[in-house]
Amino acid sequence: MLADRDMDAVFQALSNESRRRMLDIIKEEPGIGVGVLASDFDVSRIAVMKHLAVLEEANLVVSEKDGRTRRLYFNAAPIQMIHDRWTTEYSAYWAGQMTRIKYLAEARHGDQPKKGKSRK
Amino acid sequence: MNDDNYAEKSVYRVLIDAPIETVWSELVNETEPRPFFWNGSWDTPGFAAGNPYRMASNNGKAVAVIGRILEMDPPHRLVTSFRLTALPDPPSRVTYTLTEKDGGTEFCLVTERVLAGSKSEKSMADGSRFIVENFKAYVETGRVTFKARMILGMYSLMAPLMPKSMRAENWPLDKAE
Repeated sequence: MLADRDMDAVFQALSNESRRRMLDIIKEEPGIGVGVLASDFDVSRIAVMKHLAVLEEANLVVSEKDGRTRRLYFNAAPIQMIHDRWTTEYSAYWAGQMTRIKYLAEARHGDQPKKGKSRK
Repeated sequence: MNDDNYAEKSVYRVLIDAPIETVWSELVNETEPRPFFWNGSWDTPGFAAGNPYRMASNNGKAVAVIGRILEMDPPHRLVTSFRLTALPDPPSRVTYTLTEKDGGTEFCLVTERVLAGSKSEKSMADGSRFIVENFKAYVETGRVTFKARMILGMYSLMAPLMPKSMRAENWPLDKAE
């Protein structure tokens, strides 16, 4: 589970329209350079860098140096953890369905005559 | 095959609240099934560059992944070739890196050379999210997430339905690429 302070950082990072749009672009174009990303925005490169710092601090973006370029990658892990925090009830539902299928299958199996093998 | 056939690499990263040595030893533990790898167990003659490995499951009857150790630098870096036995796609590359950060360990999983648009691409994206999230939960709390425990429960129920292509006898270690 994501620690509360880490989750705060994620929600804070996502609470800005420009940063959400940056994430959209980085997700669509993994490995995009900072310069190319900045050219998509009307604000200064420094403003873009500040937004990127917030996204990196929240662990939503991972950056890597590649020669003179800094390449950006979307990191889905924090959002996955937030998603799972509030969706486990649905998982429990499906697990319940699977258990039901198991019991049905076993009951059906038990009805069929065995060939060759002796029963346990 | 040129580079255009491969998807751009993907990066999955979590901060784990544990010392780097602990995180590393959990990652490469060969003696117990790894719940964050769908209860698979490492099967390798040894963690050394060049050696093959398999991810064995279902009491050794199934092999989900086969590949080679390409780089080994404890407790920081493990690079493997990675082929899903249930799919016909060629091997890709999976890198695990550990970095000390803020009193804990930053764990990063990178997938590369995955065939673009293949079933492996989708499977590895879903799988990588599962691994980083549940590896963190396992190291920090001793067990994987509630959702993962449900999934593992389902998998054990469905073990008899395992595709033939995953049977261990089809994947001896010398098939590793």
